[in-house]
Amino acid sequence: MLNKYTTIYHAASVSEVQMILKNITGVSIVAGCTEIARRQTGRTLQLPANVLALAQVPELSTMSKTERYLEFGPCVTLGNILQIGKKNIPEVLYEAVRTIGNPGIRSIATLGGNIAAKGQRLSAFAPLLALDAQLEIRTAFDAFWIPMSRYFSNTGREQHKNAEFISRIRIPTETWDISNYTRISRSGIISGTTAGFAFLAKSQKNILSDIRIAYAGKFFFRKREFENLMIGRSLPLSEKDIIILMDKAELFFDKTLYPPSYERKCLFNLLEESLKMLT
Amino acid sequence: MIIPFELNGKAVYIDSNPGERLVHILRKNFKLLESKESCLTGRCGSCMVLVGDNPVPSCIVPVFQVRNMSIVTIEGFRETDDYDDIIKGFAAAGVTMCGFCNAGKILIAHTILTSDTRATKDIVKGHFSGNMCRCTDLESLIEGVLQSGNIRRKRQNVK
Repeated sequence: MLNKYTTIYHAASVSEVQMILKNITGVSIVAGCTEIARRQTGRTLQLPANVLALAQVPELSTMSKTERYLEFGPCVTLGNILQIGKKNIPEVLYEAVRTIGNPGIRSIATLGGNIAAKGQRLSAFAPLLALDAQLEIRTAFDAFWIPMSRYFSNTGREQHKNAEFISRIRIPTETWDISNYTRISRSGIISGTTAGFAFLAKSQKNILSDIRIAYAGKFFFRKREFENLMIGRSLPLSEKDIIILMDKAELFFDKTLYPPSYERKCLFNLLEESLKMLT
Repeated sequence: MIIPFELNGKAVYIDSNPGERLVHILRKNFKLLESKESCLTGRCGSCMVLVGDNPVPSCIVPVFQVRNMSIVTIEGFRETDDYDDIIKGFAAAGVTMCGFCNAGKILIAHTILTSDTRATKDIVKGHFSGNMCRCTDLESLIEGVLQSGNIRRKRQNVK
């Protein structure tokens, strides 16, 4: 961790990034560096021995929109995402990004960095999880797509290896009747209890046609089986329906995996509040 | 590590520890003392600089990240007409300028006015969430930005 031995690799293209990953072992990938700066208070930031800087790779800072998807490069800054405007990106993602830092921080913090930050899951994770976002992962040799939920394990343990990076984030552009993002703890500041909760729902002829519930903080939660229990129910939901669904949520949210805690309580409270939006 | 970049319109380079914070480099190596080292977390705005056209707290930027980028500090920005508009607008609104967070106040105001000289109060308020000023109230600051917008529009002959 001594900077005098730190080597910085500046890549200019994705193929250069892959070449560096192939030739240098144990290289740490950075984009905006806000996460490194957030965790340190000294005058000089302590950096790993080998740092690969992605911020100046043009291919990783692109945004595009097709009929069905919105695609972001991982180095797109959070400020740029807000500049697209509320109408052009999913509302739940817009609201989540708006709670991150302040405009100065958002102009250097990146979406990829927000997803890949070590430790707890940051603000953009829950909305992307709820929106069924996909990540394109590149290693030194190949590229493949994975769903957001596979990037980390549900308990927050990191599953990805070091020698790979996110090269694209693909978000389906569906419209939702109810779109709600709640941030736990103060906006703009990350603390140990900071977490995000995203709730999406749509209906057709008073029948709940799709619902998405995602929570991300120290751990993250998204269960398609639980959501399927609700799809097809007629709206508005009754008080009795909510009690039944909350009981079933207990089964899906296994106490052995997720012991009772403040975060668990928050998740259940937010879930109940969200279901009340359907009454 | 040698890092080349553009500082206030001039091409410069430094030989520095790559992890050093940009604010520290600006103050120590270039003697640009109006960017203040304060919170070191990017929350107070007193170390604000323009990187590209974006206001960025230079305390959270490790210096290797500014390689080949253009940086404008408040000292460099002072040479422009845009600076005068903001100072006049702030004076008209009674904004106190004690000097500690001037970099944040002025560069944030410039960014707002660059995107829209008729910004609403809410937009201005949102931008100033990254600036902690102890000597001026937020209302005066918002009024100052609105006044600066009027002055800039007049200077640019925009109706």
